[in-house]
Amino acid sequence: MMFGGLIPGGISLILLMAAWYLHALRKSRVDHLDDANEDEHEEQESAVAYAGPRWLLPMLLAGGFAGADFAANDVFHLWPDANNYRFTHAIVLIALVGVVEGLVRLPMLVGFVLRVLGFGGAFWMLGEGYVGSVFADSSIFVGSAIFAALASAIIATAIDRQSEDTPAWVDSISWLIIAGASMPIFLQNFFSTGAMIPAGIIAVLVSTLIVSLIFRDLRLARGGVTVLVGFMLTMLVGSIIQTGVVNLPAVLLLAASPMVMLVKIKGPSGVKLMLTRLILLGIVLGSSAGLLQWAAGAGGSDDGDGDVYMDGEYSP
Amino acid sequence: MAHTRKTQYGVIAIIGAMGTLGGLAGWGATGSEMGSSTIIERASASTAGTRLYEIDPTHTNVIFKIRHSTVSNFYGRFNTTQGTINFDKDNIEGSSMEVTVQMSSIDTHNRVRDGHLKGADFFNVRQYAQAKFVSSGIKKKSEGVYVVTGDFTLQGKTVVIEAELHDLRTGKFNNFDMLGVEARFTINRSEFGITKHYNAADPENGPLGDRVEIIVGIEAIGK
Repeated sequence: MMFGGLIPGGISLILLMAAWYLHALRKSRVDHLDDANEDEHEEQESAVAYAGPRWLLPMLLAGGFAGADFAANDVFHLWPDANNYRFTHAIVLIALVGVVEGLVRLPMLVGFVLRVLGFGGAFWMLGEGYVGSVFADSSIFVGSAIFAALASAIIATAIDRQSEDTPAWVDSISWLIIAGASMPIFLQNFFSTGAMIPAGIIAVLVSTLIVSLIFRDLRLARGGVTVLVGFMLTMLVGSIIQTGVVNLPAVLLLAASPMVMLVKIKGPSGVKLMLTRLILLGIVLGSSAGLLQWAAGAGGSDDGDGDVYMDGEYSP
Repeated sequence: MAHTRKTQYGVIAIIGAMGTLGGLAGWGATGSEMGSSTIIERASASTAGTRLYEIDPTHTNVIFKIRHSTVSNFYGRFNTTQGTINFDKDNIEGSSMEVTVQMSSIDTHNRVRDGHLKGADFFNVRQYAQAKFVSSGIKKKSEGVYVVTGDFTLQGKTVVIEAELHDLRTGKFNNFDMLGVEARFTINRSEFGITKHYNAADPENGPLGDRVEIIVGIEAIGK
């Protein structure tokens, strides 16, 4: 899976390394100047305020997403009528919001509004074709879009603020677990594209994890979190609305799993926080997997291989 | 608007048929309860004008074939087909048909696979519930074989296709005027934007082939 794994992962590793190296270099130069000349105080403040090339990660995550989508479908439609071929379009819109967040330190309310617009636009792209089927009429669709946009924006805003103070490697591992767990859950719910796209996200997150262990200023906040929440939103729309899930509780548990990022612990230990998240994610995602297994054992295993004539189901 | 639908593998189908009345009056007059004949045989004995037939979903089959894993042919079917045929026994070229297939009726003898095929990965049946064929013309190709041209809509995309009509028969059954016909045509699923498991570099040798052969066996009842 070159397009959905090696290529985006490799590109991400190189670009993140280069961008954060340059950032670290610039920061050290400013520190050096500060030692030599106290008059450079203003320049120093400016450099410290600069949180690094946060704008890069949203683009890379969207690139990984798009690569995996391309690998799953083998073609790219510029603007398809079929909503199920618009995943890349939706994530690009969300990534644009993430890039703006990374470039400019936005007031929380402005950032929230931008996220609402991004998530709402993505929902519209992926759901407008289902008016009359999944959505009884356009008013229900608009209401659902508003709900999805607001709920996603609230979650993204809350996680984003938490991620500002969380080492990127902790966040990366957490999101890696969620993205990895989503693959079999979507597959079991007949959404195989949703089972493949996370591979592109995982590839970029692995690179982020590696780079974050070297450059400790790296954070998923201000861009990365928005795209990751958008990734979850698009996959959930694909699964719940476009495809129709077999096991809704299992998918809803997956949808709830990013809330684990909001759990705080006392003290600065990233390891303790990681262990806490691992336990919580294990419970939430393990329950989701357990529900799938249980449902399969309770009757979901009927694969239709039976002979309807032999089973007496046939009625001429 | 008729929601036309998509197919990933392709699919679907439709077509129509024709029938003949030719001779139908005669059949009725003799009190025959059952019978069939080719259109050619009966056309001369029929009366003028078109006759409306309605497709019988319970006796109409839509079967598709697609290459799988580069080596085998995989078959599936759609179980719910509706539509009408306006058949003019004296002017077959002036006949017309409209056929709709419910995409959610796909049946590949495996419910798990059927669920996957109905989802967003393939037919996306929630957005495109139906595939539809609307004829625009019919021509005689050879003895007993006609070619129907028309708009075939799948996954929201409409493509003009030609289908061969074989085994065109009419007759009476239980005092109903009956019409039967088998339509055969081929589509490329990529033309309809159905590209899951599609190999653009070598369309017939991907996980799933591009070309989908479709057979529609229609039985219709005179209204």
